Amino acid sequence: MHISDGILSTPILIGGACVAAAGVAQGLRKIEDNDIPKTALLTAAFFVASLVHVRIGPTSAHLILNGMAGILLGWAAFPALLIGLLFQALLFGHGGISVLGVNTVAIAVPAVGAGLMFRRMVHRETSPRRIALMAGLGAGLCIAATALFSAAVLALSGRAWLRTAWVLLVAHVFVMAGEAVLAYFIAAYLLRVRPALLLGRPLAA
Amino acid sequence: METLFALTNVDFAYGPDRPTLSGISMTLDANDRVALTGNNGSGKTTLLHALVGLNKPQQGEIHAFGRQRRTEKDFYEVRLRAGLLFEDSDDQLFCATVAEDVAFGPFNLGWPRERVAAAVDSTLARLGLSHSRDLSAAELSHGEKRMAALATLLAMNPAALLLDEPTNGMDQAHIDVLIQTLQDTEAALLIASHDHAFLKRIARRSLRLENGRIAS
Amino acid sequence: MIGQPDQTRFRFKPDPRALILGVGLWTILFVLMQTPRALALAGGLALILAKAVGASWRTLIRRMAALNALLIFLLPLMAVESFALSAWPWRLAPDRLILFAAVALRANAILILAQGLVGAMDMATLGHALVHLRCPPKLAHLIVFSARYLDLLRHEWNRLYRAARMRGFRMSIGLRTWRVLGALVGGLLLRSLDRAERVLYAMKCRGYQGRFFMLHHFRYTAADAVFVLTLALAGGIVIWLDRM
Ligand SMILES: Nc1ncnc2c1ncn2[C@@H]1O[C@H](COP(=O)(O)OP(=O)(O)O)[C@@H](O)[C@H]1O
Ligand SMILES: [Mg+2]
Repeated sequence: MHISDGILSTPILIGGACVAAAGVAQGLRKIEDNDIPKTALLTAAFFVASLVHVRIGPTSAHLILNGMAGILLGWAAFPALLIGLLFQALLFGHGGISVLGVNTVAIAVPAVGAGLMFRRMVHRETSPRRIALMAGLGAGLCIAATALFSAAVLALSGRAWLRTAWVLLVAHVFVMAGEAVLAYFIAAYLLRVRPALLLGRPLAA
Repeated sequence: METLFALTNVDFAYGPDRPTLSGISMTLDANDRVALTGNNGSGKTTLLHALVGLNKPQQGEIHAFGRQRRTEKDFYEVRLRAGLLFEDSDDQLFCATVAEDVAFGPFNLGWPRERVAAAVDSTLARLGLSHSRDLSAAELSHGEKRMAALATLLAMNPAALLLDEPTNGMDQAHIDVLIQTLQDTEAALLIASHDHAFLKRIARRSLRLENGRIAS
Repeated sequence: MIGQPDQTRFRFKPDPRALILGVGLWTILFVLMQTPRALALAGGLALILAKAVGASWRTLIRRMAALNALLIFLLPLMAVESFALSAWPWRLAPDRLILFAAVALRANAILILAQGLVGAMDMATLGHALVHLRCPPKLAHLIVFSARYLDLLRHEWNRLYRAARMRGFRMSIGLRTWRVLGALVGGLLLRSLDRAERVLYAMKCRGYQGRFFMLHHFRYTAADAVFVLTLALAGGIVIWLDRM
């Protein structure tokens, strides 16, 4: 899920870059010195996982995992996802450098939101099954928000992109389902093997 | 002779169940060269980590460099004076280039830039790594990584070297350089290893761990 | 290996900071341009720059092929006047076609620029140069740090994935696929966290107190000043062509 270079209008690119810069700055402030290795390694892990292609419905897509990143990293998801997008753009030519800001906002804002929401709800929950369901739900909503935002910035960039925006929205129904199911199973696995990761605090609260 | 480390009745457990170290008492003197042997899972790595405060014992006392050490703050100084070679070199080479990895410790010691640069150059030259100075650790062979990790410790002029399986993954040429380096160093040595041929050429005495206890 | 430059023997080797500045400047200019003819010229210039600093044809062509496949998919979506049955045969709107040409040229030009950047330097150099360019040091170090462990974690992933395949795992669309995939991704995350803990230990053992240091220092030369000036000048000319 990245919008390519060359499409979006200049005001949107600038706005995206500013919001992304603010979010990244906040994320960096919240990362403690001793958590830098964890943030870096999780950044790399989420990037590696995002290279995995899965079959979703009729098509193949690569994983985004921003919901899970938000749950584990908290505010640190902002810089982590920015770096992931930077690697994608530079190493694989996906997305692009001029849209880095907008794409970061599109995936990181919902991620941080889902992360904060998840941690708040998980306090009152004891059943692993329901916690995993919450993670799945959070991840699904995350993709929905990402898709809505991306479609909106496309539509705002000119009437010519209206149809593309609709196609993007529809395609993400499948991605949303896939990511939600995957996040459910990731959370179920983590709860079995190392529950403190999900029940404790995120990396940067 | 000055005693660098003295452990008395140290117990350590990772979790609530079985203890990993129990009743460990040992000393490491300046100029000591000790082999630490024992089967896999006998607790060698755990003991080395306890010496520099990465594991804090639940029972017993650790004296190091003249003082009892308990808290994270106590161990800060210990870590600057005793270099621990990790089992997996990739844990230890976290910087972008070998030279920066070697420079990391000296910078933290507060040395001025010129002194750091000189230490980096001389340490790399001593270990035959000058050609990999600007390479990323990802580009090194297993043996080179091991030597580079050792270089990061030697550059800090440690009083003691705690080596965890130093010859793992090394070819003979690297082992020879390693033996030469260790024979030349004035640091006290505590070496956990299965490589008996190697240990025989370096160590003057040995400790054997069995199920978290010292057997000899 | 992920993130290694395509070739080590450059024909021209600008200071990494100069190159980043130049690429950044041109990216902004390309975003601002609207006419296909100026963008076509910009693409040509980007290609010259990328080739001059070391991007390989192979990677360039591969990346551009992927981008343009996507663009071809977008062409009918944005440029067909109406998909109504009564409008058959569907026709492309001329003004949309011009807009599409501009978008496609711009996308390709910026892609080529980015590939020039990575063709010329690895991620570590990029991170270092960013520190010198007043990027927040924490961010730059996170870039260098995570780039350092990319390959290692990719190998961990391959090991996990192979082990699952050995036990009969196949990617399909069933629920079981997702369950296994969840465990695999979870396993990768745990391994990365365990590794991070050991790395932090190693950092503490060498006196880490929250600071990172850089040994290398880049040196601007007169050639770099000329390089940035040339890029600015060329950019100015293309912008002028665009506005004419
Ligand atoms: N981080 C850890 N958490 C829990 N148990 C551990 C950890 N590290 C080691 N152990 C356990 O402690 C025991 C001793 O391990 P270790 O010190 O690595 O032995 P050795 O280095 O002699 O092979 C083993 O049973 C191992 O499973
Ligand atoms: Mg061990």
